Amino acid sequence: MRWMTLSKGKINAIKSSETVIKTPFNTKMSMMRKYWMLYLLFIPCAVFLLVFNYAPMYGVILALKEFSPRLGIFSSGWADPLFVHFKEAISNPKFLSVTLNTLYISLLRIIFGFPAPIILAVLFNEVRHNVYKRTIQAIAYLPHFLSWVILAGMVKMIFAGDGMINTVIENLGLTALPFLTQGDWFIFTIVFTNIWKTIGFSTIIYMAAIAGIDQEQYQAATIDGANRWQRIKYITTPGMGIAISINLILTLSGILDAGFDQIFNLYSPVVYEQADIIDTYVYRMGVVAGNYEFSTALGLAKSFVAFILIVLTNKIITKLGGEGVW
Amino acid sequence: MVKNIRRKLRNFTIADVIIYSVLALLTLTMIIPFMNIIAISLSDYSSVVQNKSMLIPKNIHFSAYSIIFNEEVYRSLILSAVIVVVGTALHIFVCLMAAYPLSKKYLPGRKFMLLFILITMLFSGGLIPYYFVIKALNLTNNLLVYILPGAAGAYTIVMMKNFLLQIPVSLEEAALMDGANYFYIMFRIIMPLSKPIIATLALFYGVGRWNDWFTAVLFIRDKKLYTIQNVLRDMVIESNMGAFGNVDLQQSYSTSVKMAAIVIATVPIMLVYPFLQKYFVKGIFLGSVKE
Repeated sequence: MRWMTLSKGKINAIKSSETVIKTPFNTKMSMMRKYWMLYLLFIPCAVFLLVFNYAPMYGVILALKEFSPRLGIFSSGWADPLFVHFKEAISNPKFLSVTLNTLYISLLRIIFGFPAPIILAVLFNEVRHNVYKRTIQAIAYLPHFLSWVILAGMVKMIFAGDGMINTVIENLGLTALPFLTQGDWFIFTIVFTNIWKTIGFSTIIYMAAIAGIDQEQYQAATIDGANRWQRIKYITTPGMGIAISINLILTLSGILDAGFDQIFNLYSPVVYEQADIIDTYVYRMGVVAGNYEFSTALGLAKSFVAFILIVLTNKIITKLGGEGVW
Repeated sequence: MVKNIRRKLRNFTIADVIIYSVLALLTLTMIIPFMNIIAISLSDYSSVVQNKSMLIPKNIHFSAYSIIFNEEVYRSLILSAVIVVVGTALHIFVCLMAAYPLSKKYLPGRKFMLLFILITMLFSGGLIPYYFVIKALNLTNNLLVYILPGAAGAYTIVMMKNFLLQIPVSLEEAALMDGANYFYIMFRIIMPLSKPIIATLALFYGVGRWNDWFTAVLFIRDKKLYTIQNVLRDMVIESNMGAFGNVDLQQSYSTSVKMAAIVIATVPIMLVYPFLQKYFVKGIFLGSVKE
């Protein structure tokens, strides 16, 4: 009669499903025994997460150790003093310079890259020919799906000294620009090409917000004599309001990520001074130069700040009336 | 039909002209780079050097493609395909099995299990500790490194759990009444019902796998185990680290061959693009459904 006990358990469970379960301890234990299969299903995932996510979290103690490759992370001795690698990381002049580079590139990405898809979404919304609109959308989404390896290959080709853009510039009688080889121009190139990659696909969230706007508002505004600009200003833009603010906060919380994939595939030693960001520096110091404790400390400091930013972000979003990230 | 178009054209204002042109211009900036790459890949050496083949190939020939289809590229393409298929299948399987118990609100310890997953979204050990874990597991220079670390993913699990919560409980109750166990229910009832979400999340993850290049940079030394992204990276990115970022410096492959490699790596994405567009757009909205 196993099915009976099972279904009885189900009925109890359904009764209490919407509330927090406040069953006595031994009932809980018997329920756990009853649902052993469900726990079994969870085990593979738990193992994978423990090994590939939680073990590295524990591995951050490397930042507090004196690493010896022979002993491994766990048996290596503690650093003396304990926080010496953090001190090293923070007092290193490179730390300040890569942090400033990261913030500078991120801010440029936000200032120019954040409004771009919003404007594009408004433009999409103004197109009345559906075929035209859908074709352009399909083309604009495409770069989102390509890796930065592919795109960096294209960018290196097109922005090179003898690439397509410089050929056009030279044909106009101007001098070629060092898009990839001079710091400021390099930053221009990465900010520009990042916008190019993301502008189309980022409109989706705004298009969804626009789709939620009541069409009667537009009709009523038209009857009242509102022109197109006024309709955009007073109906479309406020309609995207929550999406914009949530997206902005999320973007701001990722300010320490200045685009590792892109920069790593595009930069070269000549632009390190201005284009080296925290992530690329951690990679070169850790994986390439073997300075493990130092780069773990640096990476940890970065994740710590990033975590605080995410928690703050979630608070602000919930305050704004949006749904939190968790 | 004709009347319709005429009416539409009559209502075409200056603002419309500006909007349509801005969008057309944007589209051109998306198309021209691809045309440039394709044109160069199809042109002969002299017209590439003289920049005669900016958008339309000159003296078309396919020698770049016959060079590019060598053993190395062929192998890496197949390897990438295998990684995408096997990796995605494992990922979906593991995540669905985890999402199913999480969708049972009555399950004791569910809150803790959810927390266990959400924590991995918030914290990470960072690059170096991860590097050591992989090394300690002997996954360096091992094909499994492409597949195992991503097998469980918090994002996929949460999305699936939210989807499973919408499946009516009555279906499952009926099966339980008939004596079915949870394994049976999951694979025979829940999985078929979850097809739309599985398709979406599999595409999300599959594209990520296809585009992944960093795993091999970190952990693969044997070039025979390179994915197409890494073969491409070797040919196009690493080979022109020259002081002037000039593509023609210190090259082992000609520009046309490099561009042909880029085209080859782009084609598979183009082939699944119609699906991508359909499901990715849907997938973005799935994120907004919460318990």
